Amino acid sequence: MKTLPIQFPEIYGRMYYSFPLTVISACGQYEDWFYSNFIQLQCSDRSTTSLNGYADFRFFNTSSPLCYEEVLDVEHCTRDAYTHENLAEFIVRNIDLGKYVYAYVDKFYVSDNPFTRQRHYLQETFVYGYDHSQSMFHIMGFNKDRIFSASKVPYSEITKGIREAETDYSQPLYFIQAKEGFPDQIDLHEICDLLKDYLDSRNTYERRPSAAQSDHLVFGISVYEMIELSLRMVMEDSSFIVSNIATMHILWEHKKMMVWRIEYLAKKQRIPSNTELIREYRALIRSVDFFRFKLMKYEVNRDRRLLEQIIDDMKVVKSKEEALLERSLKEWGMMIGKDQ
Amino acid sequence: MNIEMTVKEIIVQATDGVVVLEKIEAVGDNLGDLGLSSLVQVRLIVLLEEKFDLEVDVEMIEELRLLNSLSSLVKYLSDELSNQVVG
Repeated sequence: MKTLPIQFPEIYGRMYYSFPLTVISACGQYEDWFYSNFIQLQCSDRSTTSLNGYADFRFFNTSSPLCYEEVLDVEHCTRDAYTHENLAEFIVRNIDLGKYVYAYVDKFYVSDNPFTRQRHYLQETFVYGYDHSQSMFHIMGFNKDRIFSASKVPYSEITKGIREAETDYSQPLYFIQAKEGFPDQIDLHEICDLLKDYLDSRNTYERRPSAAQSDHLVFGISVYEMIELSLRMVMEDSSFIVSNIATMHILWEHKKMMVWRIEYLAKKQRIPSNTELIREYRALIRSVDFFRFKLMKYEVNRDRRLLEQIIDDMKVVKSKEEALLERSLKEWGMMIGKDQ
Repeated sequence: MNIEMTVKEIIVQATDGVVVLEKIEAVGDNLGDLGLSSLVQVRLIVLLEEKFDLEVDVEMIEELRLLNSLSSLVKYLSDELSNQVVG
């Protein structure tokens, strides 16, 4: 039996970032990197959102393990690497080497998740340990109650889920490990540039190229318009409500990250402590939390007034956030001037 | 109507019987110890609204910690029902 160290991540709305963060947060000294990221937001553009039926809403540059190469060693493994051997033993051997498994799995075959024996759905799975005596893997993810948690599943379910994943999916497996030294310096200038990108709805991939897909996207404050479009499709019964709830969860985490970032930067004496600013950002967290709750309520009672309230209140949140960011950037810009 | 008993029965209903009355009795006032998921909490609010024919103010749920304290939830519902009668 072996389990690698994990830490329940501060943000976990989507598995493609919660899994890397589960590894990264288990290492000391990750905060400088953590609070310097998860600033920018991206979303599918109008035509893609309309075509897909929902807004594909994400933190900027977080969609694949390859987006975390600054802090993680990432090995991707093609099917050829394990075609002729026992896949469970292959995974166990890599865990023994201290590597976590990030795999794309058909969740139909795996216990205790929303798709078990219901629907074939390719999704990320994270394996951080094994119990050979019971032939069980220790995994993390969203369980059938949509709660992000750890659980144990039989070897056979994970290996079947990987092998049955779409055949044209050539890279179903990644092995990830935290790098030895984390970047341990806060770059306030870059944080402000990312916040400016967010405020001006700029495509950050243009100055920070990445392995992540970067076409047909909108960025920053413009994402609110795409969320509204997606909610209007929910009203017309032409959008997936669960995807929209996930969107609200990420938006909520984005606001929480901002408060934690301000508190962290102030603790590190990189910006002045400003309790009023924090109070106002906290009010945004609360508002977005209500959006999330109202959307889940809509899922249960289908009262359209709830969606109309969210859309109206979201305009207020957007406008308050713009004003807060302008104030923050003005104040922190002076700190950058002092640094230089 | 015994509001407290009705609330307990609705908690059982909201969890599809996963949480039983004995468990609710065991946690006493501290509903947080039931570990209800967000979705179950929402179902609970909607079922309470239907049962008592009222609308629970989302902001009050957090402000009064309605989903953490049985007595707060019962008091909130009693007050809302009294206001309806008066109104």
